[in-house]
Amino acid sequence: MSPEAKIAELETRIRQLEQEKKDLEILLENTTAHADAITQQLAAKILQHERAERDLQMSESRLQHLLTTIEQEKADLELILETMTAHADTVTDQLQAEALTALRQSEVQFRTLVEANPVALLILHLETGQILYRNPAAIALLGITPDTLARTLRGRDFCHDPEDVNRLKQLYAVQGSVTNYELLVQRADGSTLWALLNWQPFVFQGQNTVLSALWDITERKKQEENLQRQIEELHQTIDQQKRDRQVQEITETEYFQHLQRRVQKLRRSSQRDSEK
Amino acid sequence: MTGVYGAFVEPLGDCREYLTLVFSPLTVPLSERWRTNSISANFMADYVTHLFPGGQWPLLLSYGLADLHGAVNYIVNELLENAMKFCTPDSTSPVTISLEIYPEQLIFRVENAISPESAERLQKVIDQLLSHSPQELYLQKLEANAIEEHPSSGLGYLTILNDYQARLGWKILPGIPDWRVTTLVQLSHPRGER
Amino acid sequence: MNWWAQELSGVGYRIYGEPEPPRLVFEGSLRLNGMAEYQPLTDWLGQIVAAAPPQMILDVRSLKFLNSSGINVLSRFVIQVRQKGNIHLTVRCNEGIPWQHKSLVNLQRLLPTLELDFYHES
Repeated sequence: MSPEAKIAELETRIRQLEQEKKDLEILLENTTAHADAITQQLAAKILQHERAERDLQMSESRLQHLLTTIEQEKADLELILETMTAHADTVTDQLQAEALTALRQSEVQFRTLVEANPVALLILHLETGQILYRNPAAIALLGITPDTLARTLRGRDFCHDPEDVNRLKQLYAVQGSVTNYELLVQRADGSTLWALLNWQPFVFQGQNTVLSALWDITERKKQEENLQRQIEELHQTIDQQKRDRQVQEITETEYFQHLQRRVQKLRRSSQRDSEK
Repeated sequence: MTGVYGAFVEPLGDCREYLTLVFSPLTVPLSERWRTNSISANFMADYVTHLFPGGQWPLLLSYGLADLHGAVNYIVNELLENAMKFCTPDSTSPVTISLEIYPEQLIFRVENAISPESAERLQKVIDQLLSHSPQELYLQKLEANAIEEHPSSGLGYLTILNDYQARLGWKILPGIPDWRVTTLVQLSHPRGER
Repeated sequence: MNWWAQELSGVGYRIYGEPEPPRLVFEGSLRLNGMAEYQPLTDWLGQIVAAAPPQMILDVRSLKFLNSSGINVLSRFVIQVRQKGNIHLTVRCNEGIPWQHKSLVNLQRLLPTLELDFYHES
C-alpha cells in the first residue's frame, strides 16, 4: 500500500472512531440521563414511601390512641357497671334492711314499703315456684295484665331459657342464695328483657319461700354490646392497615428488584456497544 | 339478710337414724307445754342410749350410759325451754326438735318461729357467744345475773357450750309474719378432762 | 321463824331445810320456768344469806336434774355468800348424777372456798 492510501485508511478509521466516540458519548449521556432519571424516580419513590410510612405510622398511632381511649372508656364503663352493681347491692341491702325494719313495726307497714318499692319484688314458693306475692313494680316489669293475674303464675313462666331455671335452682341449692344473676326475662306478652336477679330465703306465713328481686338492665346490656362492637371494628381496622403496609413493603421490594434488573441491562448493552 | 352463725350445718344427706318430735301450738298452747318438756327430754335420752344393741355405739362407749343420758336430757330440755320461751305467743308454726344420730356425734336441731324483735335480741346474744371464751362469758353472766333485779337467764346456751363442750350454731331466716330460727347443737366425743 | 323450817315442793321435786347440820336438801328434778317460778327458792336463799349460819350445806345428792335457770339461782346464792364472806359453804354432790360433776364445778370458780363433796350414792 502507498503511503497516501495508508493515510486515507487511517483518516477513515479516525472518522469512524470519532463517530463511535460521539455515539458512545450520546449513549453514555442517555444512559446517565436515564440512570439519573431512574435515580430521581427512585429518590422520588423513596420519598413517597417514606411519607407514606410516616402517614401510616401517624394513622397507626392515631388508631392506637383511639383504641387506648376506647379501652379506657370501656374500663370506665365497667367500673360504673361495678359501682352500679355494688350500688344495686347496697340498694338491695338497704331496701331489704328497710323492709325488715318495717316488718318490725307491722305487716301493714311492710306491705306499704314493698308495694311502693321501685324494685320488682316477688315471693316464690320454694318447691313449686308459685308466685305467692308480687309488688306493682314486678307486675309492670313482667307485663302481668289483669287476665294473666287470674292464672296461677310460677317463676319459671317468666324465664325465657328453661336452662336458667335449672341453673338458678342449683345455685340456690348449693349457696343458699343467688346474687346478681343475669336473666333473660320473658314477659307475659312474649317480649324479653335483661334483668339482674337476687334470691334470698324467706319465711312467708310459715312456709319456706324465696324473696326474689329484679332490676331491668336493658340499657346496660345495650351499652355493653355497643362497646364490644366498637372494639372489634377497631381491631379490624388496625389489622387492615397492617396488611396494607405489608403488601406495600413487598411491592417496593419487587420494584427495587425490577429497577436493578433494568440498570444491569443498560450497563450490559452499553458495554457491548463500546466493544464494537 | 339470712344469718347463719357458729357451727351451723344443714342436715347431712347421709343421716339414716333420727328422731323428730313436732309440737303444734294448735293442739296445746306452747306456753303450757312446760310440764311435758321433761317427758320429751327423758324420752329422747332413753331412746338414744338404748338404740344400739349391746351398746355398740362409739359415742355411747366414750361417754358411758349415765353421762350420755344426762347430756341428751339436759340439752333437749334447754333447747325446748328456749324454743317455747322465745316462740311468738300467737304463732301457728310448730316447734320441731330432731335428733340426728351418727356413730361419732349427735346433732340436735330445733326450729321455731320468732318475732323480729326476738330475732334481733338473739342475734346480739349469738354475737356475744361467738366472740368470747364460753367459760369467761359464763362466769361473767352468772355474776351479772346476780346483780340484776330481773335477770334474763340466757345461761342455757352457755351451759351447753361450757359444761357439755358441745358446739352451737344458728340459722335465722326473715319472714312474714314471723321469722324463723333453727338452733343446732353438735355433741361429739368428750375432749379430755375439764 | 327459822330459815330451815320451810319446804318447797311441786311436781317432781321437794326442797326442805334441816338445822343440824344447817342444810338445804333437794330431791327430784328441778326444771322450773325461769326466774319467776324460782322466786320462792330465791327468796329462801336470800333469807339464809341474811341469817348467815357460819357453816351451810346444800345437799343435792338426790337432785337428778337441774335446768339452767336453776343453776342460775344457785350461782346467785353462791355469789351473795362470797360477798357477805361470813358463811362457809359446802355442797354435797352425787358421783352418779352426771350434771353435777359438769355444772357444779363452776360454783367453785365463783367461790374458791366452796367445798364440793362427792358421795357415792346408789
